[in-house]
Amino acid sequence: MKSFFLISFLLLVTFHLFAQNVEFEKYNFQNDKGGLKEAKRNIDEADDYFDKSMKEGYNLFGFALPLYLKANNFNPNNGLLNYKIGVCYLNSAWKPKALSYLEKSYKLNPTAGTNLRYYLAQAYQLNMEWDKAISTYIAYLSEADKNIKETADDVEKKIAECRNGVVLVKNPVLVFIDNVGTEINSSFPDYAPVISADESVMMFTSRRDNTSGGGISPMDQMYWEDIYISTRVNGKWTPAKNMGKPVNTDNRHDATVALSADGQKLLIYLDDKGDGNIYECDLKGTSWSKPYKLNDNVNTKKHESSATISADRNTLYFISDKEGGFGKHDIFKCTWDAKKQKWGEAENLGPTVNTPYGEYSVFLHPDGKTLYFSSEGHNTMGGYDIFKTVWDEKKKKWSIPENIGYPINTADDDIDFVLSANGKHAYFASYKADGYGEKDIYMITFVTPKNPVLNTEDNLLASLTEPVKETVIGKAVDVPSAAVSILKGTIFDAVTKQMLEADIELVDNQLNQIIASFKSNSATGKFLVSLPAGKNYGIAVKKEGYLFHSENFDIPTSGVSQEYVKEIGLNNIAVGQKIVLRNIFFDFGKSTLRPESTNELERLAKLLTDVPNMKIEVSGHTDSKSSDEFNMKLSQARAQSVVDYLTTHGIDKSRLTAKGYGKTKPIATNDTDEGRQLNRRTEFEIKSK
Amino acid sequence: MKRKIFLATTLFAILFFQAKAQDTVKVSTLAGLENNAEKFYNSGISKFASKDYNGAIMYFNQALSLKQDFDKAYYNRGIVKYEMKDIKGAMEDYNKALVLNDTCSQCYFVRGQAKYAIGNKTEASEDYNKTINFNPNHAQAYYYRGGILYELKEYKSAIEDFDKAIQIKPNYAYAYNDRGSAKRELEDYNGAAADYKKAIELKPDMAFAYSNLGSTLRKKEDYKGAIAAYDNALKVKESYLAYNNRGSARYDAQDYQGAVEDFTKSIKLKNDYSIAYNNRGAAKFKLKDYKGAIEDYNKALAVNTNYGYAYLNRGMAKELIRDKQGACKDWESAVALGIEYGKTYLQDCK
Repeated sequence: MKSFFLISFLLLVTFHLFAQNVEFEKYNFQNDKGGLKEAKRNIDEADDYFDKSMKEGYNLFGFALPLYLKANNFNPNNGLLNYKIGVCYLNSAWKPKALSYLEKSYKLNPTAGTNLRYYLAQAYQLNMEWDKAISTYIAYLSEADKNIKETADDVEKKIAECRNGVVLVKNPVLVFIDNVGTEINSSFPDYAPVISADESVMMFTSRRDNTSGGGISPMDQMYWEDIYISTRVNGKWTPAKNMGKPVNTDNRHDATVALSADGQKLLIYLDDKGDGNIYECDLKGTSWSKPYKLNDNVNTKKHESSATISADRNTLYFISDKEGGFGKHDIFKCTWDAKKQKWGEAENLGPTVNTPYGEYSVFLHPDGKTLYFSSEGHNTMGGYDIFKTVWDEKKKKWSIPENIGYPINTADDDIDFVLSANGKHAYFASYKADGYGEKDIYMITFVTPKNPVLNTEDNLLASLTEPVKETVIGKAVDVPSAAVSILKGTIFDAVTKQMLEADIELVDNQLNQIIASFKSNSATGKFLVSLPAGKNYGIAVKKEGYLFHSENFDIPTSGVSQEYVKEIGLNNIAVGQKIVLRNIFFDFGKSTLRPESTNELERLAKLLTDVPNMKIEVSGHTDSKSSDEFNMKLSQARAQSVVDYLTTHGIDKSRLTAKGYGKTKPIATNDTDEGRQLNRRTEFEIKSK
Repeated sequence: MKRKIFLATTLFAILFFQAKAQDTVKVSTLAGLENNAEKFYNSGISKFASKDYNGAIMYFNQALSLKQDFDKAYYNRGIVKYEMKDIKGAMEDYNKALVLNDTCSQCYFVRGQAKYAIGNKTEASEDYNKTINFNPNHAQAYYYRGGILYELKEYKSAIEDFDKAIQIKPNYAYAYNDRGSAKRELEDYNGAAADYKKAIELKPDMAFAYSNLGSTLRKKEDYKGAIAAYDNALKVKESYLAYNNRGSARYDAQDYQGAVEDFTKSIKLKNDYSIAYNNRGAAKFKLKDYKGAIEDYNKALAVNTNYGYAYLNRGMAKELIRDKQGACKDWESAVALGIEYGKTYLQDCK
C-alpha cells in the first residue's frame, strides 16, 4: 500500500515536471540549437501575421498558424505558443481545435496571454462543453476588470448562450446534412448558396483559383470572391461554372446575396471601398445583365450585406447597420413602389425580430411570410444562429423568432440559410471535417420526426385469463331410508284368541301394488314389517276358514322412525259375521270405484270363490252429513257397484245382495271426523254358507 | 292376479328375513330402496369428486333409469359431461333438467356457461338473465353477463352488472378486476386503478390484475407507478405479457436500455412473440440502433406477416439509415394492412 502511494506521488511529480512551461531558450535545448533557431524564426514570422490580425483588422491568422504549429512540434510545452495557436484556431475555419491548445496553455502558464481564460471558455463553448464553458466564463469574470461594463455584459451573454446550448442540444431537430458534392464544392471556400424555389438552380460564392482576373485579396491572401452557378438535372447538380462577366468582376469580391424564387433576379453584394451595397442582376433570355445598385432607400453609406426578395417581387428585406436600428446590423424592409418604379422607404422590422446584437443574412421563404435570418441575439447558442419568424397578417406582426435548432445551428456562426419552396431541403455552408476543403455547401434534409408504435396486450377479463370452474356438481340427496316405519302386530282367532299363522298382504295404495306378501309366525302370530313413510297402505290378512281382515292406514312422513301396532283378530266364516271392507274407495259423493280398490275387491272375489255356497249382503253406509235421501241413494249405489264388480268377475248374481243403509247403522259417533270416517264404509255380512 | 304378484315380487325384490331364533316374522319392504335412485345419484357425485367421470356418468344413468323425473341427476350428468368437454351432451342434460324444473336457476347458469363455451354469447346472456330471474342473488350470473357485455363493448352496462356482482359478493376479486377493465375502456383511469387495487387486495396472487393496474397507470402517464405495478406482477408470476408491458412503460419513461432488457426477457419466455420483437425494435430505434431495430422488426414480421405496425416502424428505421425507398415500401405495406397513419408518412415519399 505504501509503495502504491509512493508510485502515485512520483508520477504526480513527474507530470508536474513534464507539464512545466518550457521557454524557447538555449539552456532548454543545449543539444539542438539548430532546431531552436528554426523554431524561433518560425515564431517571429508568424508573430507578424498574428499581430497584424490582432491589431490592424487583417485576418492573417491562417498564415501564422502553420508556422506556429512547426515551432510547437519542436517545443510543445510553451504556454505562450499554445495560446497563440489557440487564438489562430479560434479565428480559423476549425475553431473547435483551439481547445486542446488553450487548455494546455492554461496548464503551463495561466497568464500566458491576454484573456486566456476568456478564449478557453470560448473554446469550450465551441466544443459544446457547456458546463466547463460556463464555469470558465465565471472564473474569467472574477479575474477580469469589473469596471469594464462591456466585458461583464459580453461574458454574461456568453454564459446565457451556453445555457441556450444545453436546451437546444438536448432537443435536436431531425435532419440529414449532406455535402452537396464535388460538382459544387471545391478545396477552396464555397459558401452563400442561393436557390430558385424549385431547387433547379443554385448560385453560390467561391474563392477558387479560376476567379475572374485570378487575383488575391491582400486582406487574407485568398482568391477574390466570384459567383458560380450549377443547375440540377435529373436530381444531380451539374459542375459549377463561374458566372463570368458581367456578373463577376476582376479582382474584386462578387458575392451571392439572393435569387428570386423564379431564378430571374440575382442580388449580389459588392464592396464599394468599404461600403457594402446590394446590386441586382436580371436574367434576360440566357444572359445576365450588368449588376446595378439598388436605390438609396436600400443602399446607404453604411454596410448593406444581405437581402431577400419576395416571390411576387413586391417586398425586399435587407440587412444594414444604418441608423434607425436596434444596434449593430438590423433587418429592414422596402416595398416596391409601382408608380415610381423603385423601392420605397425602408422600415426597421422592429424589436421582435431585431436585437441589440447583430442580425446577419436574411431569407424569405417563397411562402412570402416565413423569414429566416441569422442573429447573435435571441436564444443563440453562440455566434450567429439561424432563426425563423412568421408574419401574422391578421395581427400585423412577426412571431417571436424561434431558433431552428441543433444540429443545424452550432456554437459557431450559422448563416446564409436558404430553403426550398416545399420545405424539404435547405442549403447552407459549413466547415466540416468530411468536407472537400475549407467551407463547403451542405444540403439539409428535414425529416419529420416519427415515433415508433409500441403494442401491448393485457389480460383484461379475469374469467378468460384464469377461468374458474363454475359448473359445480349438485349436492348429494338424502336417501329415503331415514324415514322408515315399522308396522308390527299379532294375528289371532278373534274368538279363541289362539295365535294364527295367516297370509298378510301389504299394498301401496298410491301405486295400487302389493309391496309385501308374507305370513305371521305360526306359533306366536307375530309379524313385523319395515315400511317407507309418507304413504297410504292397505293391509289384508287372510286365513283359510276365516274371513279376511282388511285395514287402511297412513304412515305420515317424519324424520324419525315410527312404530305401528296392529292386533288383528280373525273371525270364522259364520253366518251373521260382518266384515268392513276398509280398502274399498269411491270418488267423492259418487259410487264410482277408485282403482286402488282393486286389491280388496279381488280378495272378496277370491273368498266367494273359495267358499262357493256362501251368500252375502254387501251394504253401504254413510255418516250423518247430507240429507237422508241422498245418503240412502249413495249407500245403495255404492253397495251395488261392489256387487256389480263381483258379478263381472265371475260370482253368481244369486249369491249377492246390495243394500244401502245410509246413516242408519253407525258403528261410531257422527260427532267427530274420526267417527264419521269409520261410519263411512262398505261392509258385507254372511247371510248363509 | 298372478301377473300382479309376479310384478310385485320382481320389481321390489322383497327379501324375507326369517328370524329363526325369534318369534316374529320380520319383513322389510326397503330392500328395493337400497338400490334406489338417490343412492346411485350420490355415488355419481362421489365418482365425480374422485374424477372418475365415466363412473359418475354410469351412476347418474342408473339413477335416471330408476327415476326418470330426477332433475338433479340430469343436472349432475350434464356437469360431468361438461367436464368431459362434451358440451352438447351437457347442454342436452341441462335442457332435460329444466324441462323437469323450469325454475332451477343454477341449471340456467350452467347452460349459460355451456353456451358461452361454444361461442353462443347471446343465448348465454339470456340464460344468465333467467338465472338472475329465479335467483336475484346469483353473483356469478351477473359477473358473467357483465363479461359478455364487456366483450360486446357495452362497458357501461357491463359495469352495472359487475356492480351487482360485487354488491352480492363483496370479496369478488374477479368482478373488481373486470370492472376496472371496463372503466379503463371508458377512460376512467382513476376508477379503473382503484378497482384493480381492490382486486389485488382481495386476491394478492392475481398477477394479471397487477399488470392491468400497471397498464392503467401507464395510460395516466404515471410511468413510475406503472413500472412498480409490473414489478409486482412479475414477482407473483413471470409472464411474457408483464415483461412486454414493463418494457413499454420503461420506454415511455425514456429508459430505452431497460426497455430492451424487458422485451428480451419477454421474448425469452415466448420466442415467437412478435409484439415484443416489434417493441424491442422501437426501443433500439430510440437508442439510434437503427440496424438492430430493423433486425427486430424483421423477426416480428417473420412471425406475423400481417403486422402493420412492424412495417410502419421498420419504415422509420429505414428512413434514418437513408433507405428512403425501403422506408416508403414499408409504409405502403403498413397502409395496405390498415394502418391509416402510414398515409401521412407516404406524403414524404412523393
